[in-house]
Amino acid sequence: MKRKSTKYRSKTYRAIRSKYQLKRHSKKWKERKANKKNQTHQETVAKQKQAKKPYTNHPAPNNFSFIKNTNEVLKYFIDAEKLFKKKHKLNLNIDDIDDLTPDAISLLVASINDRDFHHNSGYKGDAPKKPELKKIFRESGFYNFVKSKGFSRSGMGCLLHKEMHTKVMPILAKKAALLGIQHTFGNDKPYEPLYDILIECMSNTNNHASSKRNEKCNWWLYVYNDPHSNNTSYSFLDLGVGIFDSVIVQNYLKNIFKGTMFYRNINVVDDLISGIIKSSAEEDNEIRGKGIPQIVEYSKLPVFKNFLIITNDVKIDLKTSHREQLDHNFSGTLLYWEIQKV
Amino acid sequence: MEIKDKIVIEIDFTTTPGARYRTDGDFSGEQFLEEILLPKFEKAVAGNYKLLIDLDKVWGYPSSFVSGSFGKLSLAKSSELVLKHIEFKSDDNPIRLEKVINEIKSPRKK
Repeated sequence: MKRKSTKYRSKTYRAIRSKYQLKRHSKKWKERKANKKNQTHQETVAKQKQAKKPYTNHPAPNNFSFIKNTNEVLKYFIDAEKLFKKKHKLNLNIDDIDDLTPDAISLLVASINDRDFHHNSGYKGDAPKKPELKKIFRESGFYNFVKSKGFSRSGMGCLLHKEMHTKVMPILAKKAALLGIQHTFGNDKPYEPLYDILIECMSNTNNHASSKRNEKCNWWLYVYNDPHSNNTSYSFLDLGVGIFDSVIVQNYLKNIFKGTMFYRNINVVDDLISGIIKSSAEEDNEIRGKGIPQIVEYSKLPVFKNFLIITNDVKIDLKTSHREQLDHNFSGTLLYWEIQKV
Repeated sequence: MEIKDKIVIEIDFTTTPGARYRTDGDFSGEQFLEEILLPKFEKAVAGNYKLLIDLDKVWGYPSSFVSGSFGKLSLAKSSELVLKHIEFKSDDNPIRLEKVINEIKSPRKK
């Protein structure tokens, strides 16, 4: 390729520079620069002001268990989000709680890692005072996901994982299954229902957690081996929109209820767990929708001690088929189950 | 019909099958179908022989994987043809055989 002459290049260069200098002296340019400077200053002042604010105490319910005390725990998080939105700094105080279950730890860690929850307002917190709860909390791996000056260690029998790439991860499913199998059954043999459930949970989150098609959502998995028994609990959580507000379910409901808005989520639970909820535009529609029915089928096995789904304003006990209307909306989905030796 | 070829899932694919689509993540049903199952199945049909599929030593067969591989093959080629040219083996867990064969017989949702 023929090179441009130095003279030509310098002329072009001068022309570009001259045009740029002219632009820099225009009124529009100066206004934009001044606005940006002003905006940065305002942000810095706001940050400094926010940093000086005292923490508002936000004590957690004594029974800090999402699966057992769902309404109160849900209200605690909803109230916290409202306060964060008003730029309150919060002390998420779990010091004096009397009960703590693994599902609540996963909800807490997922929430404080979610900007839509804390709105960058600032929070702090400490472990529970009760020694046994403190041990559970500290060894959960919680501190690996928050800024902390102190503790950062996972217990031997725990796995807390955040998946940011929103993929189905078979290797992680195997690791999580194995952790529970070794603790509960005392061997290394695959337990197919457990592995399949983990894959279906990941797959469902990939497909059902968003309000928009193709939008993905992070998920959390917490595996906890109870040192006082052979039981292992699994908490699989996402803070998406919840199953009933997902695009697939919403499209289905629009077709079924055609304009009328007089339905409650709890009334369409059967459609959900039988797998008949489907979107007409979905690829491979005629062969899809088997994931949730498979989870429901497996949940009836005696190995599974508890099996709950909490999503939007419904709590479903898959073991007993009991459904509970919640007082508040949980924007997300929790699948919780325990395995036991039978 | 004679068995002239086989797929040992544990060796030829993975011990940890994933979900339905490649976009879902590793070891999906779609990947298994396109890279292993369909080419071997088409060879078996062309050569008029049976393909043996060994399902053992695998962590599980999630329904989305089974549907995205065997279910899709059955929809595309018909369940009769698939079951004519594929034989399954599972010493670990006979329920697996039932699950996969049921998917081939009725790949659509019930």
